[in-house]
Amino acid sequence: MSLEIKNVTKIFGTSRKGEGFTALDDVSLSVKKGSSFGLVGESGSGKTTLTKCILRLESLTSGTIRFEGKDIHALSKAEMRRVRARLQIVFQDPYASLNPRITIHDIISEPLIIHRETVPMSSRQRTERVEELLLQVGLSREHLFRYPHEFSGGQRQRIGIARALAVKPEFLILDEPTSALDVSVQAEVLNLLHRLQDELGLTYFFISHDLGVIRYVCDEVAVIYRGKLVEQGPVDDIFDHPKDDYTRMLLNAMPDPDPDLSPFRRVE
Amino acid sequence: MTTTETATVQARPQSARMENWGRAFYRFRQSWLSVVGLAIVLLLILVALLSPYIVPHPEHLQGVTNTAARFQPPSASAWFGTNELGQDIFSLVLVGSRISLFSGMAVVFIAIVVGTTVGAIAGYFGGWLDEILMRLPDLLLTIPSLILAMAVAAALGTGVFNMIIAIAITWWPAYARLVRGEVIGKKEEQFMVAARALGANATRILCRHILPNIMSPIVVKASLDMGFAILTVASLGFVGIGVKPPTPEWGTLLSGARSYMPDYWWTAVAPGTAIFLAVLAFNLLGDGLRDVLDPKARR
Repeated sequence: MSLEIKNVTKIFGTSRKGEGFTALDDVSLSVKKGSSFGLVGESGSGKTTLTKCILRLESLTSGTIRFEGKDIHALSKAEMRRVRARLQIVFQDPYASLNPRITIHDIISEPLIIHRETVPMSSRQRTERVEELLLQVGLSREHLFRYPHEFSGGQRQRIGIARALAVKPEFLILDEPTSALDVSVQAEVLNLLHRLQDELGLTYFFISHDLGVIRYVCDEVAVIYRGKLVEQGPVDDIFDHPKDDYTRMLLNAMPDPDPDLSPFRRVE
Repeated sequence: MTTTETATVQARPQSARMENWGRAFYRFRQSWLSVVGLAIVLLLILVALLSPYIVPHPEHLQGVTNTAARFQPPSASAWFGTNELGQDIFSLVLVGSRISLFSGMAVVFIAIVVGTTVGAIAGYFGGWLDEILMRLPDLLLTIPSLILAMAVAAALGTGVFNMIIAIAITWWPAYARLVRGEVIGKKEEQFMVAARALGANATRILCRHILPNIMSPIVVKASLDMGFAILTVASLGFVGIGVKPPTPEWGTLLSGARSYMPDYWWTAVAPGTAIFLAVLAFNLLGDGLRDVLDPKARR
């Protein structure tokens, strides 16, 4: 198991008197090495809180999160930094997640500088690595010294992916990586992620509210509703034989890709 | 294929940056007043640098007097007239620009360094550190700045250096507050979260991600403040706790001319106009910079 989440509960606002808000309620799941695990849920269901807990940007109220056997929330700062080099994230919003004041070269090489103990490199080697990464995500060397505002949404998300891949992590959290993109660009980015997983043997923890995307990318899926996992299992099982009412409702709400079946095309 | 690629690699990095500068300068030029401000500021800096070598009567700067020629009205030989000691006011005002500009810049520079450091630490870490660090600026801001500067300057004694320290002490709290607010605003942005997720430590996030993104309001405030700093320097000189009289300084010159008004008006007009021009120019420049760096605040 690459990532094991056990009985994780996160309650916000417990320091004052009264009931706090339960963002995550007894969540347990595990992600196999080399597989893609999807997490589906509507807005506010606790998806992003879970990623923040995995990255230790939020503390847990109770439960444990283990990454390759190590309890993430019990590690020392130095140990956590080493774990961060292997556990990277691609954010949802490609516009807000890149610092507008620094060049693409500096954005992508930043993790290499932060994790220079794990990946010792000279600055020349770093630049070479950045060029290699740009090519890997479908950009080119000429983009090296441009600023984020000069790129389209899809290109920025590629830059975000390149940054996440810079230190050669094994595990990638993808927090709705395509939800801010156009449909055609979504497909490109998804294909890129697919290819990278094959090439680099990555493990994906894929968060989305788009069931079509989950079905395309993931091997296993968990459905989260108001901080609780209502159902989890192999993608085909869940999609073909949903057991929970909420899952069924989500699946029914999925638009059909066949235009002839679309309600907008229906002939009376 | 490869040759064209390398060609574009070399051409691109500069051009993108140059393009930004070009765009910024274009926006700056949109208001001719800011261009005038910039021109006066550049002229002042040039004059300040060259003044000891270009003034017609460099000997007057050392305190040489010529009482035979006292209170000469402005003429071709003494453009701004002469003062009660027969010194050429044009020479004194020109050299006075050195003290005014230098002290103004030093005050703003010290204020930015201290204020930004304190404000950034307070804003980023928050909690009790914020409470402790921000109480001192709050306290300093409750006292009128000129009065506080006068008190500190009087305590430290006269002299350019002490005066700069005195004004800077009253100046940095404003920057601390500005920076703290900006840092708190930027702290929650997604790319800060991204940097933290990458494992960046606080120093790195502050210096690499937050500070470059809050430079614009600091630069704008600094250029608007420069004029006011010059004015404060002149005020301290005027009340006699700034620069000592033999050293020409605008406020001191104005103060000396006070007793000869209105008969010998030119002794006051020249340093007064110099102060007015400097303050006006820095304000116009600041407005122009704000248009460039913070387009949302435009009229």
